[in-house]
Amino acid sequence: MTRAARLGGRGGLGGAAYFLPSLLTVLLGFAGIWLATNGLQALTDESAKRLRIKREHPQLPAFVLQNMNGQEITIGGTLGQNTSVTLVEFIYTTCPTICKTAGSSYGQLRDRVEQAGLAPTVRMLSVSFDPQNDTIENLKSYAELHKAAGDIWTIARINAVDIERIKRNFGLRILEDEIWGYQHNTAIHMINANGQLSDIYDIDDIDSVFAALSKS
Amino acid sequence: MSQAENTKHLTPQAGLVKLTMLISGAVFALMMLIGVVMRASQGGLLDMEPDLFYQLLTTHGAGMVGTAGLSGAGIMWYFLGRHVNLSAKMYIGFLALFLIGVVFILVSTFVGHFGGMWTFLYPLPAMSAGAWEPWAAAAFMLGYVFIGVGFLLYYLAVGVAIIKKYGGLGRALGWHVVFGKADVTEAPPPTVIAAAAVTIFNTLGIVVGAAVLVASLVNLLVPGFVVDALLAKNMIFFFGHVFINASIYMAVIAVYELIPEYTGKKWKSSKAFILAWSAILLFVIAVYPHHLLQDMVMPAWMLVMGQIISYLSGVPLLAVTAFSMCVYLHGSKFKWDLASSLLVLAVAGWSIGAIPAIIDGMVVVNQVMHNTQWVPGHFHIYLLIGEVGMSFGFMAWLVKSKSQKQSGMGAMDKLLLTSFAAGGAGFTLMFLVSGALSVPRRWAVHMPEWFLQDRLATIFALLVVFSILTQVIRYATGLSRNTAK
Amino acid sequence: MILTAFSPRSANHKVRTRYGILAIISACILLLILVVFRRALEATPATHMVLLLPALAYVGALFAKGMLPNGVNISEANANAVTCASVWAIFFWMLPRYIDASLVSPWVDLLKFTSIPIIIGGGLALSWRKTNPYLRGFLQANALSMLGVLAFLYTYAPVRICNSYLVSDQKALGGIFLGIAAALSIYWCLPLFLCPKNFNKKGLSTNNAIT
Ligand code: HEM
Ligand SMILES: [Cu+2]
Repeated sequence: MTRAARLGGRGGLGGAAYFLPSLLTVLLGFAGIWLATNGLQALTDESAKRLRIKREHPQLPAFVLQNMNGQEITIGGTLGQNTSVTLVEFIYTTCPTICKTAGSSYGQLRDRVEQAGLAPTVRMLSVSFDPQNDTIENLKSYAELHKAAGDIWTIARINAVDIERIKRNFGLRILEDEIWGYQHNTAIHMINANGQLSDIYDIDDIDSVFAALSKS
Repeated sequence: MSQAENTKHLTPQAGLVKLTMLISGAVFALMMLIGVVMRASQGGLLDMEPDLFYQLLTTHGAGMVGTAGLSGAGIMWYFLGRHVNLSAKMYIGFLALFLIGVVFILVSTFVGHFGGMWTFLYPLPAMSAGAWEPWAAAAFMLGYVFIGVGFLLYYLAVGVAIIKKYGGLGRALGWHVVFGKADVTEAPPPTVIAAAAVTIFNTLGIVVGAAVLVASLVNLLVPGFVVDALLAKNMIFFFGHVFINASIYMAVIAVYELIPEYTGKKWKSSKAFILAWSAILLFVIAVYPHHLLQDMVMPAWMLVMGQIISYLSGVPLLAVTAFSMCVYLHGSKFKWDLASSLLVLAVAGWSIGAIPAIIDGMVVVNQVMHNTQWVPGHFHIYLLIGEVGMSFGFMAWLVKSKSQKQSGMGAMDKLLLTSFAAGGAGFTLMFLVSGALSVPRRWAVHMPEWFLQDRLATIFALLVVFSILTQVIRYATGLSRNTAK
Repeated sequence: MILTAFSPRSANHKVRTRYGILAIISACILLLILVVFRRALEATPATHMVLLLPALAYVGALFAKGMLPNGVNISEANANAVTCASVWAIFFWMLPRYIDASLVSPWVDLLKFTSIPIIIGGGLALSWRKTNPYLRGFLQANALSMLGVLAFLYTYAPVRICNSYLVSDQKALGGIFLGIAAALSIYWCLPLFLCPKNFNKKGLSTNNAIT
């Protein structure tokens, strides 16, 4: 059939019965997409994950980390800590790009926490997921670079054996990058006093993090 | 059906077009009132907050451009219906979507206080500094999306109808005559050539416009999605320019179809006519994508070149239309009535408006003149005297009664014509004078040195408003008289 | 492209059946290739979105043409509805969330390998030509705009849309979308300029309008 014949043969629009099947399909399709995207809120994997975490507050198992002074610290777990909220961002210290800017917005957050007198209830961690390359010395120099003194903001690294569990529990996706080393989610993960992952924020969205901290 | 038979019967959807013109006329009048208020405020005659001025300027720009498109679409639909079978349902869909869009825009500017200009240039809509909420900017762009979808339906209906009758767009543009062996007598009528060309480039414009609108909307919702500002600007520029040109090119069909009624000589498609329309197509399509694809860094010469060519793009067509009209008028017993005078005036206005546009398109001048009132000066000439003139000429013709047909111009007709012509000329001249004196455009508050032109322009604009308002009322009563009969 | 393949226009019944069998065999082979090489094809967003997914749709179109060489007897109203359903499916598989998910969850992957051939490929193959020309034009224009939007956003925004893919690959995909938009616009628009062979001055002859 030629285009001409197609155009010649049809092209009229009928009555209501003509529109009904398409209308139904359009409505059903929209409903389907609405459901599949949590009401158009979560078009990406990342936003879907954040919505789920906000709703479910999944319990984190306890992870033992090593901080820049070589001491062991714990995040997650049900035992509770002496601080009420832990903020975690994942980094690797040789990162030339995102982690740098992430570091500076983390620093701003630290200053605001300090000024607001929230320091006793907030612990901020930058955690390296690359313990092979990130030696204690590296963590130290990273801490110096960003003026993370260890009082509120501490630099730490994971145990190599934990990497898969960490990735699963925090929903991290870390990809090897052809130029820089890794591409990873840069986000601030909030852990409440019960060791539950309660929210995830964009790294530069420190206003929202601060608002949440002030409330809790 | 033969051509002659075809042109005799009226469009089956004349009623819809008459309604369209009524809406257009009323909105034109309203937007002109807003224009007068702005001009008066620039002249220090009114005390207005700058915020309100920018809301009014946004409404005026969007409203005028949209209405120019609407009235042009009405004219084209009416006359194209003499040559091809058009779908009334698609037109109703177009009109409905257009009106929904208008509601969105009005709510955005008057309720949401959106004042980011009709060009919604990124990132201005998202950076209101508190003057308006993001929803207002989103509503404004959604309004554009509705109008754009409406026009898409319109051009789909036109395109399908033309292809059905003429086989392909190439034939509808008359290419078989200039590039093939066909004789000039086989050329499609001017209306069809014009409609085919406008359909092609304005569909392209709408597709590009939709893309930049949706990207800007995404950016409003998810600010992380930064938009390439330079590319966005190019796309908006392309879309806006194409759209506003299309409105005049659609309206000029009224000239092709109505002037012959007065001269008794048919407006035929000559080879020059066909070539002129194809040149327009080429200018608009071939120059802009080139100018668009420059992703990151836009060389300045390219912008300037694009601008010159875009301004020049009106010239071949203009030459053919204005020139042919003079030839037709010459040596025929032309009947001057309100409709025919307005149409002739409009072609003159359109031609004259191109001159300052070309001057502005020159590189050296442009650096001085752009962003002065020279710019509103030149486009008000061909939009106000040109496009609006054609629309009101068509409207006057629509409601012309049998008795008037014999009598030509009455005293009232003469008054309306004179006040429109004199007011329009004076009003636009004041913009040009201000531009030449480097008065910037888009300034809510003017320096006292500029008040003289501002105030004179206000008086001239009032003349225009008087004429247009009266014409709208006469049109409305004319319609009801005709339907009552 | 998908739609005109194996449409045995003037062939008689026997030839049609032969074409049909051929189409089904090719569809099976293609599907097998896609299943075997899916990890490689999914390695970058460009090959995933631009090779794998369209190829899956093509598989469905081949199956449909093979099993129903004479098409189906479907009214225009229903054809419109089927086309709308296919468009929704396309929309769904443009969502980064489910592209990501199909790499992680075998269930979503299975959904991808079934729904795309059936709903998009098969659906469009049987319904597109019978769809109202206005609706087709509308969808085509929108497809061009949306590809433009995606190109616009992907090539410039620093947001990582898929957690499974690198930003640089996302950029490349944006560029490819732009290319596809350009190619499609030419492919769709050029024929509109040409005059069909069976055209005469009285209008289009409809005598060979066998559907
Ligand atoms: C009596 C008639 C009119 C009056 C008094 C009027 C007045 C004005 C004024 C004062 C401005 C702002 C100039 C500046 O930048 O300083 C303006 C801008 C504009 N006018 Fe008009 N106008 C009239 C008719 C029209 C018509 C008929 C159209 C189009 C069909 C139109 C389209 C525009 C556009 C597009 C702008 C630019 C808006 C912007 O800068 O964002 N105007 N007009
Ligand atoms: Cu990094």
